[in-house]
Amino acid sequence: MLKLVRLEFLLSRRVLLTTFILFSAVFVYLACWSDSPNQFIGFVSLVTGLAIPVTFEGREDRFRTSVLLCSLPARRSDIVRAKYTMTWAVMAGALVYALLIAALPFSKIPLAQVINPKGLLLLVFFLSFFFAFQLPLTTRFGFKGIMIGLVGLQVLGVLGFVFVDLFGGKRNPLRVVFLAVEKFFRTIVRLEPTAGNLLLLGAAIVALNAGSFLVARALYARRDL
Amino acid sequence: MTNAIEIKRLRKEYKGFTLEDATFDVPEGYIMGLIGPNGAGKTTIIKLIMNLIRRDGGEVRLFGLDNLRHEPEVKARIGFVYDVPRFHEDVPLGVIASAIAPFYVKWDASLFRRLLEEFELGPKTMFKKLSHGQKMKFSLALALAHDADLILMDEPTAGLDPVFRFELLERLRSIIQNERKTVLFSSHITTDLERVADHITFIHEGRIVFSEAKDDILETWGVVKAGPDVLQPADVPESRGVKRTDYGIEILTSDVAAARDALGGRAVYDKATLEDIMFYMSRGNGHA
Repeated sequence: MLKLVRLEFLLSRRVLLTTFILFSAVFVYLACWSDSPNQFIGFVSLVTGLAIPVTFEGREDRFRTSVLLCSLPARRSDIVRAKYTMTWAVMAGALVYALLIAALPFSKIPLAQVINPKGLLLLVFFLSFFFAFQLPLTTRFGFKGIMIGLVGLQVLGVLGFVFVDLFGGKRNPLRVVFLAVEKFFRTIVRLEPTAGNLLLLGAAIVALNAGSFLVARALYARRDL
Repeated sequence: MTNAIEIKRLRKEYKGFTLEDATFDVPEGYIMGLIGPNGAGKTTIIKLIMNLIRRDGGEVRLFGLDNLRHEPEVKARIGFVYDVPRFHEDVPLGVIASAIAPFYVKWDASLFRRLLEEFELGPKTMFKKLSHGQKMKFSLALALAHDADLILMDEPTAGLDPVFRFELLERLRSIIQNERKTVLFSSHITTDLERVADHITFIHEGRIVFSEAKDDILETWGVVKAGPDVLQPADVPESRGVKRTDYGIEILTSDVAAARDALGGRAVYDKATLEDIMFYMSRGNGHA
């Protein structure tokens, strides 16, 4: 598996450098603009969790190099494991980099409210949340996977309007789902940082990643190249 | 004689195309040419051997091992050259090679460098700067640098200039002569295969029509030619395809000796080339 991670790294060095430059600009802007720890956590996890998988997997799709990967002496499950390892390694690097920028003198981010067990776990949780949905789709469908994700959200939005039209605002069945999701996120953000809650959050992170990996592995195994 | 490749009742269904129960073997130490018109199923077979697509039935054994259960082991012994080489365009050739090398225990860095020099490719050149022929050369250098026991090539000569095509074929021949290696090489350019292949498998519309030694095919198959009203296909033993022209009828047979015995001076007899066989069976109202 390490050979596959090394291969992914060597073949993506150039794009890593470009991503580093782009992220520098984004994180510096964020640090100068916002003084909210929640905004910092949300923004960094959104940008990193979506941009990194798309950047790496998009390259494979753009150059159609899945054939190269899958003709190497490795199982497809190992290839997916390597993709997850590599993506997580780069995302972890990006998180550390964002925190370093937030620690610079010009930054308005109250770093102490982010660098604590709950803040860090929240950052990793939201990162996992975005990444967990994006990577299986991109692994299986490449750029089309991104489109599938976006179109899926659009369809959900349209359905929301249709349901409002049909049932009115309060009796809208989608509203129940949206409110539940919103409540779930609010609960997580407002979680008391007790040992039990932090453990639960950690378990949710592991579950999200494990679920995402299993889905990606199943999708990639069925991919005809 | 041991087989490097054993394919049994291999099946793959697509919308509008089915590879139907393909069965053939490739003996170790030989060059097998896989011929057939475009869309016949050659690439499908090669992709199934490499597990790039999922099979719907059948079995592929490489060096006696199942290609799915022992995927990493068998792939470590294969040098694969795809019809359109795919590598990261913005990466230098040397970096691509150094990323791939650790996967192969028998990777020979000095041989790879020698091959790059021989093919006039610079390790610092970006892959996107290469022409199609150069990409093919690079792909071939990668396949040869790890001392693969089996070289799998899908249409490697398509789109190449005659000089490099000739070089490539000579190299394949020398690989086989000097070492105990096996080559499976798909092409619709039949003259290439006539030059180097020991065995030929002909595939048409997803079905294996025959898989035999090339010399036997060229020895026994023939084209029977006669005037317009002299012969009917049914008169010719082992008739496999027919072409009618204004001047007469041409019938492909897989047993030209039997045809000569049966028809005597009523017709003229030519040896069939692989191109004849492909043409008559795919376009000339072939009937296997």
